[in-house]
Amino acid sequence: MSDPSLAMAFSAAAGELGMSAASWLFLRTLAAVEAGAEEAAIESLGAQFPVMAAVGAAWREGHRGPRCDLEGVRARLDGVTRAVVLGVESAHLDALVAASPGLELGLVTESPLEADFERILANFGGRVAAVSLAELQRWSGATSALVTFLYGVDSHATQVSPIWLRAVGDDTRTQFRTLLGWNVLPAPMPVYPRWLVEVALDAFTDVVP
Amino acid sequence: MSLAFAGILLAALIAQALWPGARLRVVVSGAALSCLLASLRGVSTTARLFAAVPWDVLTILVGLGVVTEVLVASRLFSLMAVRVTRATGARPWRFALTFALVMYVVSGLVNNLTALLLVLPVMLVVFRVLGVTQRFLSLTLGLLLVACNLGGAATPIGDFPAILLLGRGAMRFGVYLTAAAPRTALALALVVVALSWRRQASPRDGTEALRAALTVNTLEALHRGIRIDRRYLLPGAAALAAMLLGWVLIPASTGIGPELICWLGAALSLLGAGKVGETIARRRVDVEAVLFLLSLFVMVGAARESHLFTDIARWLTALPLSPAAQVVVFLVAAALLTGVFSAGPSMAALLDVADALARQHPREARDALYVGLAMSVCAGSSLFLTAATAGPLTQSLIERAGLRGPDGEPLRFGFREYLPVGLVAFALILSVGIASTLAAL
Repeated sequence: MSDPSLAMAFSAAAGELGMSAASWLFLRTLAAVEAGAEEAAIESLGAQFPVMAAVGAAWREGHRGPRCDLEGVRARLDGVTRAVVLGVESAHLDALVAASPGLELGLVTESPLEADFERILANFGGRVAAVSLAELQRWSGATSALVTFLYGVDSHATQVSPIWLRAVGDDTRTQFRTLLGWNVLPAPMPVYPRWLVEVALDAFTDVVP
Repeated sequence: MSLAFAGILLAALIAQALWPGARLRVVVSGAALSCLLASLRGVSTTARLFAAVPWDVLTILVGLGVVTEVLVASRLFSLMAVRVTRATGARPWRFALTFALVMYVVSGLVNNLTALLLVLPVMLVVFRVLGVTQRFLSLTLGLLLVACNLGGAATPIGDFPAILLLGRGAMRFGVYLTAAAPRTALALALVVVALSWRRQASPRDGTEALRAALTVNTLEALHRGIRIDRRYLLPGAAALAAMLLGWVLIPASTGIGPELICWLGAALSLLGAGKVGETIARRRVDVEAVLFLLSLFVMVGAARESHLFTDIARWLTALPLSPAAQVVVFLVAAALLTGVFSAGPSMAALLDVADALARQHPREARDALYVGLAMSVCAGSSLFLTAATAGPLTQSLIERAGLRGPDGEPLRFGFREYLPVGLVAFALILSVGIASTLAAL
């Protein structure tokens, strides 16, 4: 499989499933069809998509699924009645929706990759509303939270989707009770975090490492 | 005088074909000019021209569009596309053939443009993950568009030309269906056979099984939580089934025509869909198509009042040719005109000529002539990418998708890429249409 066509295939999946979920899906699928095929994909895609490189490293260490500390998230969202999620990670979103029946959820319909948000949202059976960046402040309040996915955490910084920077400025920060970062990678990324941006951990009120 | 109305009609048809972005302004202006000229010259009045508009045809178009929208709300079409991909194992040629077959059937029952709009996003994911070549992309999409055209011509409710025949009472539902369905199925089979030699899908580098597995698993992950919404599927499917039964079983002698059956079915589906039904009625009715066809009918009506079409038919029947050869000339001309002007305008203008020609033949031969005309229009719709509305729409979706080939080269689907498929389809569909019409004369 040529690099350009594999990269296009990965982008198609990552845009709507999330970088981490798409990486796990690709590795599991390739390994199931042909032993060793996933190694070629880690090499080929890992150079272009650092999340794949990080997931590939975890795969080599024996991990077979994403890191998902749902209890940690629920504890930090205790008392929150509405939350807006920035960025897509399907496995984590599915878990959050299933575990939080009373929580009003919105998803910011912006992505650095091509994504059909109508299809993304249809997967949640009406439980998650579409939120444009212009509508973000309508979701603010004393019991509101902003949630985003973190791609590896070290002692002081993390990587997030660039959508986070577009949405969260000094004005937005004070209008939400909780700014929650939810780590989806088992280890920090080994290569330069292309597609993502680095932010300081103190940009969040809560982090689920 | 008939030349003036012919001039307005022809100028409007040419202008809307040359500037599709201005087609509504062009035909609305043309219709207004026709009304003005007819009134000033005493040929007709605006009220008379409007009374001659086949409102039953427009009612059927709107009604079928409404039922399609209710089915769309159920997510039936996108999930169907996912299941078709899974069933084919994302094996490229099997995938292309099955999609063509499914769209042929779907296009016979609902608005193919809407169905195509919902199926294409799923196909785009398949193209991206599967990693297709330019040739395979052109062939698959070309075949899909031809299958949609043939499906639309297979039943009396599939597309505008057949709806016009049904709505104007030129043919009964069952008669059209039994004549057109086998002919279109045969034409589709011939097109598939003719195109199959070009079928190379993607570079054979030993990764076909990996690509197929990635495609199926990605597609399933993207639709993991999406379910068919029975709240809309049931009223939509029930209304469509009731309409089909009504069209087949209720005799015209009851006074209940196909347009009333369609209206009742559309109302039933809207009532059954609850609040979404109200939203569909207010916002999803295809006003653009209605306005376009209404304007065409007004222009055609003005030309008819000036005896233009009877003059053309008289000229055609005066040709020093046998009646069979005259029919062939008419069918070929209809196909070529459709290729240039698209199905709606040519069918609206040519049906009057077909009526005049049909009067020279016995009843059974008339039916064959009408079905032959529908096949010719279908052949013309398949000739160029621009001949049917679905073509430019597919082109723009592919352009926006930014697809790339195995080596990263950009993939296109435009006029040139479609043309080889279009020429093959045009020749085969027209041949089937002419042969079957001549056999019945």
